[in-house]
Amino acid sequence: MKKILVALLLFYGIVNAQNESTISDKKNEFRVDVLSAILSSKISVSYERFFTNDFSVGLNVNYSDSKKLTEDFEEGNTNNLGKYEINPYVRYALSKGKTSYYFAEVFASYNGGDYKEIAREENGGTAIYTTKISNYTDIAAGGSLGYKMYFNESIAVELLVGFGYNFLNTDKSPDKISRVGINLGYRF
Amino acid sequence: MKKITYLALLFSTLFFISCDTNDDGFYNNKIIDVNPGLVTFTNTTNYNVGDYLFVDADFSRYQTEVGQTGLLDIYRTTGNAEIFAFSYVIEKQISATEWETIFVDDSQLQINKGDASNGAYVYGLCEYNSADETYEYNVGFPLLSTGNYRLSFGYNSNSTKNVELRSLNKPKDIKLNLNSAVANLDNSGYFYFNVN
Repeated sequence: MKKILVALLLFYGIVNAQNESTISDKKNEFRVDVLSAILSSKISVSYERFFTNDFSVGLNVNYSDSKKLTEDFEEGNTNNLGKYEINPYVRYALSKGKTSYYFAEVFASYNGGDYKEIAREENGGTAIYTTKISNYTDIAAGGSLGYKMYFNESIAVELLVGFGYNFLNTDKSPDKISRVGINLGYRF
Repeated sequence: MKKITYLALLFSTLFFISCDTNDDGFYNNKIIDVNPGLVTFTNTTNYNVGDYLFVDADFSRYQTEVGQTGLLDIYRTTGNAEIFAFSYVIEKQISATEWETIFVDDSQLQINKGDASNGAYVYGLCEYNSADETYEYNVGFPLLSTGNYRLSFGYNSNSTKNVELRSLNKPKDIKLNLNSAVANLDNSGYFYFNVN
């Protein structure tokens, strides 16, 4: 009983200490993109590390397994199907507010997925055309703008719009990648 | 106010970027040139009222593709497509410079092989015959009044002297478009004939 009481007091102390700390003291944030999860069955998680001089850096990781995008790919509406992205980014706060502000970011993206093409196959005197699926990877660079607001100095809501261009393997990869989301996060 | 403007800008950009897809091409589509004569018609320039103009197709599932060696199996390529569709138009001259499309009821078409329907153009369906592994079409178009007529195959295509036959098959299979030159058309893609 005594142990439980001590634990409760400790927990209360930690929570209380967090409530008392200002948002500037919280240097880390995790987020999940709810827009991508709902609209395109994409899992998108991000980490951001804040510095004192309005800059922050972070990493976003996406994995997509959308039924609709897969159908579009299989039915020939697209010839590539993006599956994953690893996006490191650097951000700069454009406004001086700490609980709500606009920001700009530059990002790089290592992205990959499936690529489809039609190829002719000879087989014992006759030939057929058939679809061949292979993997692609590419690297993109781009920029985004966003708006972030905090509730209780910990719960983050972030709107993000941006796009970038692949530049190594565009015969197979999509020319453009978008970075669009509505993220919910926790800053600590 | 400024904040609302920023937010509106942000969301409209979001909307337009979300709309962007890489789907401006149809990537299950394959267009090839094959030997001429897949579709033919009766090369008669004088008909009588009550006659039929017959358009015919009877081509193998194994086709010679221009620029390739070896026969292409169009049946297997298309995931066993049972039908290749094409279109043609029959028009009647109504003045020195004007022509109008002739409409007849589908029931007035004389369908011997395949299937057809008539609207702004005749939509012909070449049906696969597994017995001899060919796609077949033979349909007569009734000529119901006297006048000058013309036949063309370019209604649903950019081509004038070719007919385009398109496989009708499942969405995930390759859609094959066969371009085949049609004999007896003039340089503008027309065959002219009279009905007396």
